[in-house]
Amino acid sequence: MSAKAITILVVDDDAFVREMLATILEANGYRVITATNGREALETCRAASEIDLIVSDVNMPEMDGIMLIKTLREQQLDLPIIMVTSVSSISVAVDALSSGAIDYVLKDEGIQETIAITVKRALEKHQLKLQNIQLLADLAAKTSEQEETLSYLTAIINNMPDGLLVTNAQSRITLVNPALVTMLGRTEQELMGQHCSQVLPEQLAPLYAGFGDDAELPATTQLELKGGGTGSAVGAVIHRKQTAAKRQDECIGNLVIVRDVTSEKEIERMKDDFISTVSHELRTPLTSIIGFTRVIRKKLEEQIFPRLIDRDARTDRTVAQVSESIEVIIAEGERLTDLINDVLDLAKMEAGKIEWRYEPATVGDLIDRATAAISPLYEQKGLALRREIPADLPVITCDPDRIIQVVINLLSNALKFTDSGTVTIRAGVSGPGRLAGEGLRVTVIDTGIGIAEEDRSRVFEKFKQVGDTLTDRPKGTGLGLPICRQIVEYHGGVIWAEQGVEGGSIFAFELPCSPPSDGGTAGDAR
Amino acid sequence: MPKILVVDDEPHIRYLLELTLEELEEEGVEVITADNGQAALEIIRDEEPALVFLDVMMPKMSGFDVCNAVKNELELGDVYIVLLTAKGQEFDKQRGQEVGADLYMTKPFNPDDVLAKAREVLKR
Repeated sequence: MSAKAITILVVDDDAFVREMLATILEANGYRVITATNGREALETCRAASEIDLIVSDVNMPEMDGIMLIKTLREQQLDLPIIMVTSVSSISVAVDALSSGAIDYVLKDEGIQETIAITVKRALEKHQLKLQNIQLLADLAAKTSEQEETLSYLTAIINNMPDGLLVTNAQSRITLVNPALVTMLGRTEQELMGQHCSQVLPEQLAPLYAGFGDDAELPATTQLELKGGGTGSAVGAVIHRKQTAAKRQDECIGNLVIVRDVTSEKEIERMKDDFISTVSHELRTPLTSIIGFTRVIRKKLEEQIFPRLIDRDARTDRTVAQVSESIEVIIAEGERLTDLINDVLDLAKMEAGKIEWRYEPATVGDLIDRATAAISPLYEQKGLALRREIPADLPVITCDPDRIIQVVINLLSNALKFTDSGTVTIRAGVSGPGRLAGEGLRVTVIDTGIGIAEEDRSRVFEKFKQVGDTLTDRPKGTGLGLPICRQIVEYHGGVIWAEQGVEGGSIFAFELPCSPPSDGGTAGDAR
Repeated sequence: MPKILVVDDEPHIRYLLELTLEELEEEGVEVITADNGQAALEIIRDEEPALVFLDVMMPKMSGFDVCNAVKNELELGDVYIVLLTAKGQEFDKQRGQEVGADLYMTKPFNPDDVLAKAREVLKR
């Protein structure tokens, strides 16, 4: 035992027995104090807290051994007591044990050996008892702590607006919260303990079916909720950390969280309806304005103007003014149409609602098609369009119509801002730099008015045409370049503007030579 | 005598199309108008026009429904149908193909294109 001597209180009214027991115990290394009866022993115990064990006679004057035990227990003094009884009073020993004595020793010739062994065993037993009490106290504290944590968690889980479902490794449901029960329109009893496939909507299958396959999780999916709403669900695997066992984390279940996104869906739908309605409401009167203006122009040119008699200078000037005014109405009407189309286009692109039709294409062909569409406008303005396209460009995967749209946009911008000189379109393979890998670069170089350095990145923002909008007549919708950027970036490419030679501008874009990772959603991550 | 049917609930658009197709009338083409889908369907069944300019968004019966009825129920495949839409949305184009429309024009349309198309169809 410990270095500090263990103190034993020996209680006996017989001085001879007291001395004998004290001698034996001291010989075994214990410190011994004595008392002559129960009452004296009780007082000693109250006064001296260092007593570890009592060895007491049963029959004593004033207070006997049994009474001593009872009184000690009543006073919450948890001292182990060994009863020393004579052979003739075995039944007394039994009484003593049932009253709480830890053991008993017979007062016979063998007591010299038995007392030492019994004391040692009693002390060990008492020590175990104390440890046991300590463990129980620790456990109670831990349990209470856990109960507290659990109360917090339960309150959170039961009151969260999102539906929560937990399964074990066999995909059987082990926990559902009230929100989930409501969302599925089931009762808790119907769900608990069931296999997911039996009680959950089919749409949720990917969230628990791929169990253990970490690569696929967390997965998300949508499902219809009770009452017709839409839920967005996310699933995840629950791992048990096994750091102590130094093993890999073990999958012990699945977690599914369902969020009611009905109102978000509704807002999205309302926005689509709004854009669609506005588009319709704007286009209908615009059809009349442009259409009737064209009819008027035709009637004037074919029926009225030729019949004017007395064509003096003044009439000629009036005819010219009328014709010019009509041209302005038609041109501005068409610009308004372009604006509506561009706004719709951009809104759809930003919402990811464009269907991208990827197919292999050669940039040379795309540029041919773009220049064919725009060259009449260049001829009209008397501006040369020079093409520098090598024959052996690699085939890339892209949406050809959209890339042609970009090229036409850049060429038409160059045309708008260049009054004399040439516009050059150039294509070629570029090394890594702006893109991670090899790319195909298309460059449009003009000799026009150029763009100030501070405006160069802004031109790709919506409605950020360079120049003073009050004095400079705007020449487009202000959405062409933002649309170009959306298209190029959806292809995983980059688009930028540079200072050109002789003060003009250079617009260029690069598309990756390797195809976009997957059709419909390419570019989402970029 | 070939007939062209113009269907739109907007009187201005009907008038614009009538003016656009005016010179064909001088060449002996009859231009008929209708202001809703139901009336249009009856005229198409009774008169079998060679060409229909058909607005999509109309009360009672939409252009899609009229087109579907003509092409798939009355089986009048010879009636050339041009859908006119102000929405310009991708799914409209797809829907137009599904119901068997021959052409799809987005408002605002160019009257010259309308006239050219009419001449082309009538020549067949």
